[in-house]
Amino acid sequence: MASKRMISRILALALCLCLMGAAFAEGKHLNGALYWFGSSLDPATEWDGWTTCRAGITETLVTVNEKYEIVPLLADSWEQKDDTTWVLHVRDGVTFHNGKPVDGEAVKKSFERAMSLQDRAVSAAKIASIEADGQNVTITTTEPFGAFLANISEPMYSIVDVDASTDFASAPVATGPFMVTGFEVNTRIDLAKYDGYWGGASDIDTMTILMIDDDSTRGMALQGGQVDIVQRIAWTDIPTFQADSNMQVFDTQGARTRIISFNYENPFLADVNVRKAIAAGINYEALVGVLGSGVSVAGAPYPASSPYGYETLNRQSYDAEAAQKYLADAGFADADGNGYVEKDGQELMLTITYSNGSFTTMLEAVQDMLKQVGIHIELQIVDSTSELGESGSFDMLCGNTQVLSTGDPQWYLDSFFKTGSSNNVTHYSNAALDEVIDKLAQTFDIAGREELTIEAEKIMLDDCAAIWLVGENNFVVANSKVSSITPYPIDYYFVDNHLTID
Amino acid sequence: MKRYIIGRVLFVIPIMLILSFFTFALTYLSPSDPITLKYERMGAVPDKALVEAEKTEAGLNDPFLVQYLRWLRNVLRGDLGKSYFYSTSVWSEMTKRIPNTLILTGATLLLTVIFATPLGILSAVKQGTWVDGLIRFISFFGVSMPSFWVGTLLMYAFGVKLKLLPILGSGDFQHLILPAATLAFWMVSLYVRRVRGSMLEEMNKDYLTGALAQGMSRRRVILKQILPNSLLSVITMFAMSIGSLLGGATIVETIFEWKGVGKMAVEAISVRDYPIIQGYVLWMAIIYVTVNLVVDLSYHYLDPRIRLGGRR
Amino acid sequence: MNAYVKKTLHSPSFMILLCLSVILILIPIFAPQLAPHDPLETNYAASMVEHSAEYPMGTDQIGRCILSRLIWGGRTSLLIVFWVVAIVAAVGILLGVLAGFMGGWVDMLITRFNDIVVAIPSTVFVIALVSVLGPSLHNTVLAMSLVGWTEYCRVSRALVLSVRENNYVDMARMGGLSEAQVIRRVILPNVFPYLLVNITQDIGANLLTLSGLSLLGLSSQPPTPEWGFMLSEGRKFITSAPWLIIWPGSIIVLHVIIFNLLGDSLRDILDPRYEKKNRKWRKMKQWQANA
Repeated sequence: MASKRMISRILALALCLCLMGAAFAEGKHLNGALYWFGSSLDPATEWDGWTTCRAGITETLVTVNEKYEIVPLLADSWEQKDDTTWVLHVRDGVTFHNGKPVDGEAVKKSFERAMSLQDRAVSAAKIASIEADGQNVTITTTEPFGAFLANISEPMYSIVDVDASTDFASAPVATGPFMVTGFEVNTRIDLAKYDGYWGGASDIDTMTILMIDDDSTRGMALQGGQVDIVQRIAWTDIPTFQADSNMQVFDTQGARTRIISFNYENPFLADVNVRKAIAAGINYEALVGVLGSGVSVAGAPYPASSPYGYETLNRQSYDAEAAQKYLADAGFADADGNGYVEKDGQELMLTITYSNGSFTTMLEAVQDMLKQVGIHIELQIVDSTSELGESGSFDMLCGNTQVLSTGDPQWYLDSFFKTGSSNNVTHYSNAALDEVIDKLAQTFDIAGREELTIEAEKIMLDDCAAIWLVGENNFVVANSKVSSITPYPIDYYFVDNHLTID
Repeated sequence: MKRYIIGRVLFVIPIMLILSFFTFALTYLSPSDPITLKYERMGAVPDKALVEAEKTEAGLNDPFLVQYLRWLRNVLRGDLGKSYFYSTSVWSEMTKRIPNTLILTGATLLLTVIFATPLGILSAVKQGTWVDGLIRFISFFGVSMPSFWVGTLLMYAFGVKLKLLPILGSGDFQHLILPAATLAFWMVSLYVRRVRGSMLEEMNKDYLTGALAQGMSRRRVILKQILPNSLLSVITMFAMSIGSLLGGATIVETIFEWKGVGKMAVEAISVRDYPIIQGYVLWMAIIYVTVNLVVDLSYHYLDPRIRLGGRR
Repeated sequence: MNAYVKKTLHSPSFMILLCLSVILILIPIFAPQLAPHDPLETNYAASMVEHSAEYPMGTDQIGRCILSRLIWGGRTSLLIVFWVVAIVAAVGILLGVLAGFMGGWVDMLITRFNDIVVAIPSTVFVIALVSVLGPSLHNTVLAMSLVGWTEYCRVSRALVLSVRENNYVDMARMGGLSEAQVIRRVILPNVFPYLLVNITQDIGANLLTLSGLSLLGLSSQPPTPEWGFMLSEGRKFITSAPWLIIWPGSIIVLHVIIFNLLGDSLRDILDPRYEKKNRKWRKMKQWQANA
């Protein structure tokens, strides 16, 4: 009898809690979910700006649109005075969340703060000095730097009110359509709309963004109605969501590409024919078929959605016969009849090392495809590929890289392919390419930069410098209550002031 | 008595020393460093110079023993250190996680006591009938299923298909139901079997014949004689279960994104967040010692014939 | 021993379970003959088939036969589990017998060591060790073995203590047997049958632990099929292809149930009262394995 009463009490309590939860919401509220949070909300530290940018809290001077074009945001115009001097005009009428107007001085302080907090902010834009004059800021770079404008769109250069007495780690005062009302590390961000937003206040009153790191769990949270909009779901779930009339799926070709890089110290891989055989042995279309709608064929360094000549390039493509011919040219043959080719009695066996568990299926498919042309591939999953990269003890690495970080091609070329660059762990070195990269750094006009980038791509493809397997698409998935969603190709853009919910 | 308790509590010190040294040794073996892993997790390409600077700042480039002794010194001063990954102190991270684990543990134990005791008694009393058969069958399944399988299926059924419950997160009551149910299904099955077993064992004892002969009712004998005695033998195991739960139901917390200490430990391991791992080890040592102490004391209290420290 | 064998042969339920267990073990051994497909063979034309005549349990994302992968996967999963059980039983029994038989400081040392290992949260420890050493078959076996031996040690120590009180140990000693001979000829044969129950049921417990490790990506290196790994991969497809999680899960449950039942019936045969002494440790172990 006692236990019966107990159970009924528990049920009553449960009911009360449910009702309380329902009564709490007032105004328009949106629940979103992201797959990763930074450890703080200070845009200037580490990569935390990516989170504040996604959540619509902070903004930069310029931004990158769906076509990878640099467009005005907080700065509404700019002018290049000479090779190293840029003058930007800060939009009139922009205010911080505390109502203070944003002027040149505020921008200067904000940049200086970012540069004092991390070295990345110093190197990415190569800023030598900043001068403020009313709404104008004059920025001088240490050297002619063609990627300057693109690189100041990186969220670490978000403009914040440096003078505000606040803890930037949990409540930055910035200019975005949403203000932080609560933050729990790795759990949730609570936001309220900023009525004085320069672009027009959001229609949504409050918003909660949860961090759910598991892709399939995030999808289930959306299906279960716990959240309304998410960035990225498991690709395998995409057909299910597309078939669901209560869901909307936005798919844009992103700039994150899955790449296999070669260790040029490996005697097999130093041979361009072996590299080409591997590239030709992979059936890119079939990989896309296997992985589903989440990816698109790559085959070239930069994605088809970018202006870097994707269609005109001689891209990597599947041709099993060509692959076998390349192997024969390199002196490999299957003498012992075990299905794998050898040269001088040594079997062509290579290990692909990777750290991302979600690559497993794709690489198992690659392994199987290369087996068909006679190349023996082993797979190895590790915690961190960058450390392995530095030690040089690997054959091939597979990872995904944002090739158009800040919408500009230069960073990727500089970091991974320039001779002696710190991230160039594969020890790739090509004098012709180095020359093009140097030229690119000193070229400012858009057409010239595109031309040079395409030239660099041609060199890399001829040399088979790496294998660009597939491009990862960006997915924004929402239930039908959410409208006015803008899908961006760069994944640190997500929430904006247009977003609304019924 | 007092001396015994103090001795037991002080036992946390050698355990802690050994475990933490061991953890540090593991750290030393690990080929990956936490700073690089942190950047990789963000999808960023770590800059070598930045990583080196941060490593030096965090003292990761110091020799093994220096790191260990420094950590030990700080702990003695009451400073558990700062997480490499969350840029918060270990103390504040722990105090955020522990309440969640306590809630989940509490709910699971409540469900276990509510369901396992009556079902176990019923199964024993009705031994050999279809009721017993059914209970045994279900509880057998309960202990044979991987909990993350059960959890995922429950998540899918109640969260996605029926949309009755939120499938993840921690905090309020609704979020608690699925993870607690997953754990409780397991626990209830375990304890139904256990309670049934010890009840049956107790029922075969001679003194019951005497009690029945004296004219006591069957119900009275079961409730007053058999039940207390058989529950006594379940206590050790129950206390150990509590200990395990307080250490965090790693798998269940992971799949339901329940931000408890178990998930914290797994996350910390995957990014080599050593200060957090050490904080967790300390927590485990405290639980272990406390649970053992409570078991000993409860035995002593329930059955004064048992000498303290004599259990084993 | 003979008495046990006789009893065993007369228990039909035990014989049935034993046959079932043997079949479960034989299936992966004869995987090349039994599996309809190569477990690594891909078929892009038939990916994500729910079930068909060719693929009775369906296929995965790259068109591999789930049935074949489950049959071959048993090799990895059961191999890991059998290795772990063999190692922990050997080490645990050895230490337990030594502690019980020698007494004194040896006993104290082993018991203290045992206490400390018990204090280690085993799931977290195994995860930590495997992720530090890198996921591979050997490291998984090593990590699971390091924490798994304690119950054998405890139980065999207790059993030795009770056997020692029997007169025949003294008689053997007086008969001129050395210490080692007493352990080998007298004590072990008396203790082992009881531990056999533990061993059988430990198989199930370790299968559950292994599947938990796989969830965190810590069991085997791809593309080797392994049940827990298949299960955790299948989790990603629960909305679109539920068979990818249902089949591997069911296979694990089937194995755990059969080995647990085998252990239960073995215990009933060997000693109906045995349950009392030993059960809590086994349950404890299972609990930790799954939580």
